[in-house]
Amino acid sequence: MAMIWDVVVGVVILVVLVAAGAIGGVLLARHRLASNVGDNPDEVRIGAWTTNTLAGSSAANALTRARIAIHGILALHRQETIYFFASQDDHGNPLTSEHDWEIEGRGFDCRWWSFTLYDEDYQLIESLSRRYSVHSDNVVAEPDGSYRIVISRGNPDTNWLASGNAKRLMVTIRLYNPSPAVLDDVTGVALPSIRRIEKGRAAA
Amino acid sequence: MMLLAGLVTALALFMLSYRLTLYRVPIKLMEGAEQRLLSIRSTGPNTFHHGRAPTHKARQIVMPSPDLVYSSCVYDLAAGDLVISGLLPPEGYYWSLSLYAHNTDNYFVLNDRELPARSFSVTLSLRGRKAASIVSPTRTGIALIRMIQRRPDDLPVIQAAQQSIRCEVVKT
Repeated sequence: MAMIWDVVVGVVILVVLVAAGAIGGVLLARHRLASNVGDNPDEVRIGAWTTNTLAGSSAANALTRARIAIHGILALHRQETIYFFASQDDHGNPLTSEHDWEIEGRGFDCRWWSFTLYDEDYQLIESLSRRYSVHSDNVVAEPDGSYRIVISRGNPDTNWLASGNAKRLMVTIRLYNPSPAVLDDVTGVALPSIRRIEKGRAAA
Repeated sequence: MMLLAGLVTALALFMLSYRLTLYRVPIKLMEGAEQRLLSIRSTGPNTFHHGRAPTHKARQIVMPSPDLVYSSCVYDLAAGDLVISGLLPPEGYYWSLSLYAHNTDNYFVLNDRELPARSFSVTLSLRGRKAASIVSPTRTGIALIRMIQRRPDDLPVIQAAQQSIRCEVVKT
């Protein structure tokens, strides 16, 4: 009787371990796919910004391919376009529409560039102005080439991205046809700062 | 002994289920994207649909670029090779044709800088077929043509380029 009991306990433990292993693998994958960045050797972090050097590429690892499918399906590979993402400011504060933010930087060494703001579902944000992006054709730059882009709900009458009522925000920079220098060393790209500003200070 | 066997099996299953989940996610999402793109047109695969620059109302695909005008085609090479051709907008407009396999890989891109004649024609085929200029890794996938719309009054020029796009099945 004791032997039968031992076998039963052993089989139960085996079944539990096997189930835990199978379910654990799925849960870990789902956990890692919940974010578009983090714990991935294909990614490069530069300040608040992250880029995936193998987005869209056949050489991408399985985590990159799955993340791109969820958070940016039909992305171009890096020779055509490099994407940078930021969901937090320079101090690690998550970007939300509860606050106003400013991006300060200069242009990029590429054919055409753009900043686009997305909500927590990685979709464009509803606003009356339909002000979804600031790009190299419509940016209002200072004489020295620098620019300041404000993220806010209201229109501050400058380079502006509308944050609407989004819970979480993600800024994406796209560099179309990046120069050979950028392709050689993506860590050398001078990326803009992101800072929280007081509400209403946007028009200053 | 049984405990050790159980731990080893559990570890193996953990790694297998993790890898399998990562492998399946892009394929399932690509199938969803293909179905959504097919649902906005009634002609089936191998036909281009010409869109406008996305707004917040466009939610078929995540992270759309609001500055691009897209022409998209869900392709299926079951019936034969596919010849995609057309004209480009005038110089100064970014244009690209990108091809995506069924696992989402962007395996081919052609842009306007490579096409000084301002026209294009590519043949898409499966491995092993003759006369292929581009080999698709999978039978189905998505072809996407992107054009940057810099100003609202660029639209007629972009639409003319869109209307010139042809997609023809060549029986093999």
